[in-house]
Amino acid sequence: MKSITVTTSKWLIFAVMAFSLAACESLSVVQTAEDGQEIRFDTVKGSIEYTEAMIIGTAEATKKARDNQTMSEATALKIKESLLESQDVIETAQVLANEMKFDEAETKVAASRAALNIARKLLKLPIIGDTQL
Amino acid sequence: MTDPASAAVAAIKLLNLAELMLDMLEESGVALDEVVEMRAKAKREGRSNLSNDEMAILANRARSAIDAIE
Repeated sequence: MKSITVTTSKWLIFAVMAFSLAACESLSVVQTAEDGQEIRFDTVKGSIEYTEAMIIGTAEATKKARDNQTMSEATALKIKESLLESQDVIETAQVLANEMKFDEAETKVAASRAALNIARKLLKLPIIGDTQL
Repeated sequence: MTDPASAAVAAIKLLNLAELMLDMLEESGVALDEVVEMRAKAKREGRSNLSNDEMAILANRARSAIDAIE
């Protein structure tokens, strides 16, 4: 019984890594609007806007999984806590971005940090050892 | 020898995780499309980013979506 748990954990980690990579590929920081305009999210404010979309998407998918009962209440609450923490960080970043001027080098560093932060939060999601996710 | 019941539970967990990740991607993509259109509108109006009011709308939407998780 113990060996199957270990094997499952490894598979879950690989699955999360694969989907994180897919997410990076499919949700690019450069998007095209319906009118053909190129919209970039590689500045501080852009990364804040991008992160807001990720938080909304993650929250809605979590609610859906909970409604379909494919996710346990404990997992949903952990994700909720993580998302609230991320939202607090984003709102603080928004205030700071309004007050400060960033040069090009700083914006790139800040955007990278924001992206890493999202990945870190997402990687905390899977819970092992529950009959549901 | 792996117990078939444990293997089935593990398979269901993987499928659930895959579905969750795909849903997260899809829902995030939908939300991102909306932000892209908001940014495109801002650009047409000569602004490079969303206004504070538009950001407040996004933040409220995020808070509501998080609060809806039970």
